[in-house]
Amino acid sequence: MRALFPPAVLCAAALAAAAAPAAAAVQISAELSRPQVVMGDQLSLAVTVEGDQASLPSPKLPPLDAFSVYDSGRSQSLNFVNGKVSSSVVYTYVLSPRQPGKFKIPPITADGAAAPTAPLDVEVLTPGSRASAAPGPAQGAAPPGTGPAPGAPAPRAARARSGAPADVFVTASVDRPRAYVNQQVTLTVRFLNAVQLLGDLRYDAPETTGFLAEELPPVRNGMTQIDGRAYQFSEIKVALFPIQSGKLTIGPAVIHCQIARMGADAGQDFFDRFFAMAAPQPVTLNSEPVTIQVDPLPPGKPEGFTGVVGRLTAKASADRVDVKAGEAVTLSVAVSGTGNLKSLPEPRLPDVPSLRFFTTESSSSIDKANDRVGGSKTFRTVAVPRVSGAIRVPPFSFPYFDPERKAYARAETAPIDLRVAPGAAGAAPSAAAPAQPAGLTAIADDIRYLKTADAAGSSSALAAFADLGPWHAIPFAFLLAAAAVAWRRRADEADPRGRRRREALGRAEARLASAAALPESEAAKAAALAADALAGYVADQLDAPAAGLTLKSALEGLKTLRRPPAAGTLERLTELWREAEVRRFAPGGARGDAARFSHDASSLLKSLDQELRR
Amino acid sequence: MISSLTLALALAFPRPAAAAATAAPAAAARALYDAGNYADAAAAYEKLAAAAPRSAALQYDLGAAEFKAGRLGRATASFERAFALNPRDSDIRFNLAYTLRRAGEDFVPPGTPPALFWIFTALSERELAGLHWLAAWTTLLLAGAGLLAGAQRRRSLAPWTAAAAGAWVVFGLWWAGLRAALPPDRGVVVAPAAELRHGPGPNFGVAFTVPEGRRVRVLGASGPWLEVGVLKEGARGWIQADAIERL
Repeated sequence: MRALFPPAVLCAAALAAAAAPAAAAVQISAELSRPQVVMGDQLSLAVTVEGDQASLPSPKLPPLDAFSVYDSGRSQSLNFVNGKVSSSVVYTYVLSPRQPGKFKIPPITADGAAAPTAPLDVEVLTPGSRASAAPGPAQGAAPPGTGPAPGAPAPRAARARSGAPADVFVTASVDRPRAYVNQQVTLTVRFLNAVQLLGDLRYDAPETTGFLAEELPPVRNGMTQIDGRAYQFSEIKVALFPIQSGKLTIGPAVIHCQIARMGADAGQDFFDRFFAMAAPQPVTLNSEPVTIQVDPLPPGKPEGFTGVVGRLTAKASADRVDVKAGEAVTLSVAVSGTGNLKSLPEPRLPDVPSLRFFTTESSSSIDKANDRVGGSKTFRTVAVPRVSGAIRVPPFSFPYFDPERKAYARAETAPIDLRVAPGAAGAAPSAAAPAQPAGLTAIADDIRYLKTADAAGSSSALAAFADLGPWHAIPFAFLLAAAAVAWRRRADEADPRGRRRREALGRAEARLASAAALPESEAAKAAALAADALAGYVADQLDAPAAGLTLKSALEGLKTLRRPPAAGTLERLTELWREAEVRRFAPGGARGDAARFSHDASSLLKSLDQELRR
Repeated sequence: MISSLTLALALAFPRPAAAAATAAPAAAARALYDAGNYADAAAAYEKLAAAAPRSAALQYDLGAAEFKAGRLGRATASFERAFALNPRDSDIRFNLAYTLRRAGEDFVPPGTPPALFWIFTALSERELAGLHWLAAWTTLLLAGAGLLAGAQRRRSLAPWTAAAAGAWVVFGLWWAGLRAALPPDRGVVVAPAAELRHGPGPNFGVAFTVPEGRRVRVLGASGPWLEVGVLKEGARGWIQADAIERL
């Protein structure tokens, strides 16, 4: 609520307020704009402190870990009734949720308050879910059915439809019927009167549930002409920031005043008319409610967007850029522009491991020129370089939504380059360090440096062994060959007669070769070897002892074999056998023919062997 | 058998290659890197690595230069190649794990004890193949010798032959397991936020995006499009071939 008073009345009120007892009772109540909020949106907490005194204590807000809390201003109203002062102050806070879940806002108290407020429940939803479309009854508000106090004057229409004179009325209007969430809407409440007012005048500000309100002083007074009639007007402007989307209604602005009544029973007598005019008539004037369509912000919110709507610029600076390691540098980030900058949260500190940051403090300067809320907000933080060298503080970024361009934008500061000289020993931020053996201080992580050796490359010989390709068949072939040999050996061991037959030709040829190699002086010995070769071969084939084997028994034996040799072969065997005996026992006849004989014998034995193996 | 062991040990040690031919260009590339000219350093290392494709050190240096030049995907691919060549190098493991972490992937598969993963990947695929073949040679030669030897000698060779055969089986299974875990038909996403579509062409909708540096398995191809499976999430989609660097 707000009071509209002529200066003289205001002075009297101030004097009366000063004389009011300080120990009067104080009531405190709290109200949330809505019981649910989606992460990324905001809601408002209105704390009303009332009492019969002009100076009311401020509420003591308990810690709200689940929310970022921003002071969004206060509005005060004073009432003077029969010289007594009563006032109320509404403190508005913006709550920006930090995490989803159900939370309870603890009781809020104030110095001198008879009782704290009741705890309030609020649910923070994840972005995927939607809060209740309708705002719903605000927590802490008066329960349904609670109307004006008994005897209070009923509200009347703006143009005094229920008997108020048409020459006193109040209007309410907004500069735009449609706005985005958090975009400023300027509400103008204008009280016009064409007659003399009597007594006090009281103004009840309209209900602005769903909005954050920021007054736009001063009250503007002046004269205007309506339908050719002169009116005196008083005008109040309020900047409203919708904090939720949908159709939001601004309630009626109410003016309580007294005007001079010109009664019908005044008669024609001057005194009757004079006193009739002087009799004050209480009048309650209401403006029409105003509905605003509030649109949600379009999708595509950039990372770090906190809901600021307006137009921002940002600038960062340091109190010095040449510093020693361990010394403090104050970084200032100033954000200015239009919009509700009070709700702008502190920027996220950059991830620079070589800098240690301390708590950020902020200060705001609100500018309301041309009825547009804006100004600047400055964040200051102390940074202490941990190491020497060039350290770049990266840009601070503040995303916002520009309602004029209907697009998201980003106010970004320029980077700040610090030149850090080595500090004195122990000058690093060791003041807060524990008195324990110091460990490593991670400054920044990165990949490891280049290889300093073996730049030309190396190759594992073991790996190269895998690339032998077809050569890997060698051990398999070796194993197969070994297996074949072993099988043969085993077969020979199992069949000694067969083995003797298979090896007969080899042994006979070996003897013939030995005979051929002997000199002519040993012709008799060569002849004996040749004869032994023939007899030995036949004995091996017949599996009979070679000693005592005669030509006759040899021929008979060969003929009894399963595959007997051809008759021609046996004839040749007979000739060579006899020649061998002649050569053996008549050495003179063998001279000079040993080589030929060995050759003939070898040829015969090969033929014979083939025939026997058929 | 002792001679076989000696041969195996000798083969297990890397043998130096000719370094003189690449020493000067490598020094020039290193100078570019040290001067902060990472893009040029990467180009120089790329030439060197192409000339010596079996050099883990050059692949490592190429990966470092690519990373510093801001090309996370190409850096990951180079570190992967270096890791395949020399998996026991701690620097290579560190840098590969670092770039994979930047791409949102874990070097050690979740749930796998790091020590076990280290042991499993301690030998490169080629080294395991070499050990597998070495064990095969030893087993077959010992078995062949046993067949040819006499009974007493054969009995003395039997335990060595069995041990070699066991090593053959172990290294063979290890080799096969490594090929299954790190299949050769892999690639790395080298385009930032590469789009994977439902089919091979722009007419198919985008199914999801993959961050640069992610490892994928190439499942098929259709013209300039590759069908890939993202190793971490197991999702499949089609991606333009130039957004993938094959390993």
